[in-house]
Amino acid sequence: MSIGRKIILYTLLTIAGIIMFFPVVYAFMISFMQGGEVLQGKLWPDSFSFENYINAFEKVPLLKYLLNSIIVSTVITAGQLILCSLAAFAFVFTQFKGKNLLFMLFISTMMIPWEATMVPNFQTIQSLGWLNSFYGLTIPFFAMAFGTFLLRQQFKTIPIELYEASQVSGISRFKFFLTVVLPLSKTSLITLGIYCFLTAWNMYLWPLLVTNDEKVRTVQIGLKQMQTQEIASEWGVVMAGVMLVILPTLLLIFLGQKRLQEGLTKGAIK
Amino acid sequence: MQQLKALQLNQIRKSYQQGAEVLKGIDVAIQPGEFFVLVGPSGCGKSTLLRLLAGLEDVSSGEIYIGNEFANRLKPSERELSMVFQNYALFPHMTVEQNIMFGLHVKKIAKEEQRKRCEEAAEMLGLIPYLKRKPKELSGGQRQRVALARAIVSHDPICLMDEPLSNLDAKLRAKMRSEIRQLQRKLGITMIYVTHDQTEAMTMADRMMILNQGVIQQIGKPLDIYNHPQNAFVASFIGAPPMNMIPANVADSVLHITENWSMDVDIDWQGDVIAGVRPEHIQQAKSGTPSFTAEVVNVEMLGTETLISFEIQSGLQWTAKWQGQHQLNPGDIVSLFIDQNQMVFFDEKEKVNIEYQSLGAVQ
Repeated sequence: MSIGRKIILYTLLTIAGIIMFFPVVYAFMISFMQGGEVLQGKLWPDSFSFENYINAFEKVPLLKYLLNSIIVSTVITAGQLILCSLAAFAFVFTQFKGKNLLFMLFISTMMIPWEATMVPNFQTIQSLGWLNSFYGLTIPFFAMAFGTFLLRQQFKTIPIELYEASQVSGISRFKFFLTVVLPLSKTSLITLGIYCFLTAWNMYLWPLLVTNDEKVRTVQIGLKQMQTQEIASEWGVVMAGVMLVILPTLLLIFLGQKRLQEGLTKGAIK
Repeated sequence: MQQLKALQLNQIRKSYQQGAEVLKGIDVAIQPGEFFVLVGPSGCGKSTLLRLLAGLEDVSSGEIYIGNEFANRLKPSERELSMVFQNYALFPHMTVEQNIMFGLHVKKIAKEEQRKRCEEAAEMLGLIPYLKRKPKELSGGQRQRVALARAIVSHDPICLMDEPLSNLDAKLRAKMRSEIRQLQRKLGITMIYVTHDQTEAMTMADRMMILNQGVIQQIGKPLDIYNHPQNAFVASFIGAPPMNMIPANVADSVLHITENWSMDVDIDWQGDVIAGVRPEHIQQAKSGTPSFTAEVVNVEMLGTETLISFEIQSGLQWTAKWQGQHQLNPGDIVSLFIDQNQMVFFDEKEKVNIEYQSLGAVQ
């Protein structure tokens, strides 16, 4: 590549990078500003102080919300990994009539937007008396067609002879699942895990529907609450809250980035 | 160490939902401690038969007896057999040692004993230095040995092998062939071995069964089969290069092979036949013997022997195998001689060896 093209390319990339990252950086800057500074349209705070962060913790029970979010996301992730891997195992390693049809039906549920099922889901949760509880927040998300699909594709790459060899040795199906299938699918499981965790962490509408006090409320609702309470005068505090909320997500991405890439591109090239 | 087990198959049939019948009534009794080879071209049903024996698939009809036990409904693990797969089926995330011992704990064998057996097997197959490695760090031959070791440690009386050598190069294959054979003798297990390679079948088998399109062609000792093939299929399948064959006609004890070649034969047959002769039985004619001439089309010199291809009829080539080295070139005319006692005849319609037909008539 010639120098000229390189310069053009890097300029474009830099501009794109700035555009993409501006909101985050701006939010980070605002989180250090006083109320007046934001309205003056400043990009750089006069001084860096953690006052807003302390305020954020004081205005709403942010720590409690963070904890709730961690519990909800972890439980959903675990539940999804367990159910999806078991379902995928059944779709790959057991033989039964109508297997392919059932699988088609299963993944066709991916075409139904989640919002469309929200009302019946809400009614179910309500009649079970699970409103305002961790059950209501987590259990509806355990069985996901996408996860099953992803893991099925991975399990299909495991040679069937391994399963047959286990059968001949007398290893039970479940033992085979635990000692062979899961270890061989580590990458896909981690990918799915990270994906689930992030999706659950960013969930907004459902927690808003099924919770009504701070007992189980998640952090995304907390943020919204903070915003309405402050009536736009204390943007610094709100942004400080936002920074605190995206921290775990960023951490997860950085730690799992390599695995995530591996998982998403796996199977694309043999 | 373990009690030997026989195997008995009665009228085994297998068809799939798509309708094709893969096995069409297999009857065979396999002796305890026998090295039994199932051989046939690809798609003949030999692997399916092995999978039925292992219990990985269900028979459509017929009976399987293992030992003296009716085994149709036994699960694979209840049949007390081990199996070696074509692609070895090693667990990539486990070390060689874990691979070998995989499955032993199910049989409720003490940890101590498991370790002992693993070491024994590893010792026997020269795997001791590799016990802590993963399969991907091993060569093809070593992986093959790990798969063998895994079959051995179970101490099961029957071992099934599904084309275990087909992924190895020719040299290693020859080596493993003799290793497997020695191992089987040493352990005294009943071995059922599937292959498409007739050389493997000939060199390893106590007895072998030739399958084609789901039907047994012949069961017997390798040399008996080689010398007395039951039908034209067996004759052409067993032996390399394959038996030379040509449609011919017998009239009054004279065999008319081509327009300008006929010979006296001592068979009780009239009419059309397929005449066959092994390449090593087509000799260079000495003066005074009845002979025919042919034009050489290709010569392959292998050092100890020479393969000469010639055209016997337009569009039909035969191969002769002569001992030693012969300087011949394509286009040369050679004079050839065949001893009539070395010829095999198959009836034209059924392609069955007429030797067996007359036997059948006697019986």
